Amino acid sequence: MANCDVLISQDIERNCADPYIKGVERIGYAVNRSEIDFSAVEFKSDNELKSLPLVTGAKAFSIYQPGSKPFNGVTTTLEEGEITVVANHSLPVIILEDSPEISANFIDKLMNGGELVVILENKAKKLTDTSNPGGAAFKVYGYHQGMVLSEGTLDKYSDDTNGGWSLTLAESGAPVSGMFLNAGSYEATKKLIESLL
Amino acid sequence: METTAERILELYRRGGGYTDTERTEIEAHSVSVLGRGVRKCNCEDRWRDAVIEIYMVLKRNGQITFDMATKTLTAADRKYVLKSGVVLEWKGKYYTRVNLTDEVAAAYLEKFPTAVGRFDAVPALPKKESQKEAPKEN
Repeated sequence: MANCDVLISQDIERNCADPYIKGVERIGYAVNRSEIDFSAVEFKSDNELKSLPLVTGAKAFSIYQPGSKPFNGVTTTLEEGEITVVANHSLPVIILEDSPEISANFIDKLMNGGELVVILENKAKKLTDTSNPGGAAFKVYGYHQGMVLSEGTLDKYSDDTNGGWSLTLAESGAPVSGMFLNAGSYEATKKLIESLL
Repeated sequence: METTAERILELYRRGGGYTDTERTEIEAHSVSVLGRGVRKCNCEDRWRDAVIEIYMVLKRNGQITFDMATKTLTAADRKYVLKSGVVLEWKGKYYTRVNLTDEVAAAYLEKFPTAVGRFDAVPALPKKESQKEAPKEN
């Protein structure tokens, strides 16, 4: 077994041709982590999944977020672990609904230990990067440890949620700072995600 | 003629870049399905957002089914079925389980036989001459 390579290998520069911008797109995609066919997952690099195959009959679910700042509060923090520094991801989700269906089919599943893998589309996609076009577009949260429900609130008079649910999904102790989904190009990854729905 | 569900599914898959004619069409679908027009603002995303909202309502109402959304064909229709979440690149085109044909799948697997793990279903391959059982001697 080889030891991990710990030598950095890239300059940190500012790309004025394709400037970095904040935020993510309005639609995310969630899959039940237990329905990923891990035996068939292909990696492009340590931080890039080339595919995200699901077991037969499984599918992804879209998460649409309203407002001008979708998934506002999505963060990754790094903290010192026992052996290495680990990454913790936090992902707020607003649900503009309070119904038996949303309780039974979504929230209660997470309350009882459901683990998700969530794909968000960054606004900064690096589409002009000739070596890896669109490689930064789709970020995967929860691949290693799963996104689990860490807190949730239903405040019927909240202006922030229009009286709906506010949930926070979290992954603790991920071994890499970021995981991306990249089937080879932005177009290919979009098609991959379509095939999940 | 396409149904509203089929048309919205098509627009949903495109994910934006709608023509003026399509925008007029989206406006009409928004009124008929959501009971209101597309929101008024100068944001480009409003057309895509409207399509997504209509798509979700149709899906919730069962007018867009999982099979429709994935266009998953039954085994009788298609011999090769790619796993969800996998893309094949073949001769400059991308294929998923939605648009993969048996012909493309067979050609791909002939060139990359180890990719069989990316499929949910493949037909039993005919045995090569060398693998066939020797005829029994009488």
